[in-house]
Amino acid sequence: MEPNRAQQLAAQGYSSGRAVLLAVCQELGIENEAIPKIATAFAGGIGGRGDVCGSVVGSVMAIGLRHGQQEPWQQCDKAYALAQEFCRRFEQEMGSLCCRELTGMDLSTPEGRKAHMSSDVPIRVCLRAIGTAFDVVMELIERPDPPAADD
Amino acid sequence: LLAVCQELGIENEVIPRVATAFGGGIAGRGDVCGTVVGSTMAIGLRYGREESWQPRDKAYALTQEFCQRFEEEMGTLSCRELTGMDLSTPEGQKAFYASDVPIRVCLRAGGTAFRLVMELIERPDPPAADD
Repeated sequence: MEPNRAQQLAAQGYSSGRAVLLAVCQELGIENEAIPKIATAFAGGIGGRGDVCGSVVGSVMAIGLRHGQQEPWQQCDKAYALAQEFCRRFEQEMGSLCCRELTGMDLSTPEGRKAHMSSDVPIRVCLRAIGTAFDVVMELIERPDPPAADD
Repeated sequence: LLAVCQELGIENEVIPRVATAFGGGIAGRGDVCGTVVGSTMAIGLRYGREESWQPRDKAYALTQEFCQRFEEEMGTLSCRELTGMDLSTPEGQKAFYASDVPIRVCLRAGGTAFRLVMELIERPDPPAADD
């Protein structure tokens, strides 16, 4: 299968959070000096701590960019509903949202990162997570008329 | 995120919109606290990379230090553990707003995150990271 835009960026060296956020923004024609810088430290979870996968954080940021609130009084129900749906579908496809569980590795140490880079995990797991996140978030963001949320 | 950007004089149309769905973890799921995510974004804005060949070590080191210190002060990074509540349901959200948790926990988490991240971002010459 042809790699999608986020996977192509990842292959160029963009880490998961930056790859997904930048790919969505390119797709939507959003150019901004904060993108993808703002997602820098979301790789290997948060700064390598192994929490929520960077491609999930990048996707939730992208949902905020498209459907988020600029002022406190604006509604954010749509962004929340989409983010929840995104997480459910990512979890269904990948089994987990969590970097540690997805990779089965500890990326918080230099040794751990070396082991990660010399394994097949970046291709087998991370690239798939990045591709999945991008496909799911683009579908959700561009869906013209989402069914009314039950909650 | 907005507070740090105001403090640093960063005005950008994506701020704070980009952080919208990080409330109650990710959209109420209870994972990592939104103030931690916002702080990590702020560190990225200040020390992040535009291009892949630029180093990201400083952003990573600051983020790790931020997480350590936030954890020390607040006990955990997790929304679920901080609040002790389930914000994923309308009932849970109602119970949350009717309790003292928003003031007692979340406001304190926001204040702690802001203080720590500003200190880290503005620290002129950080000690060399061990890793």
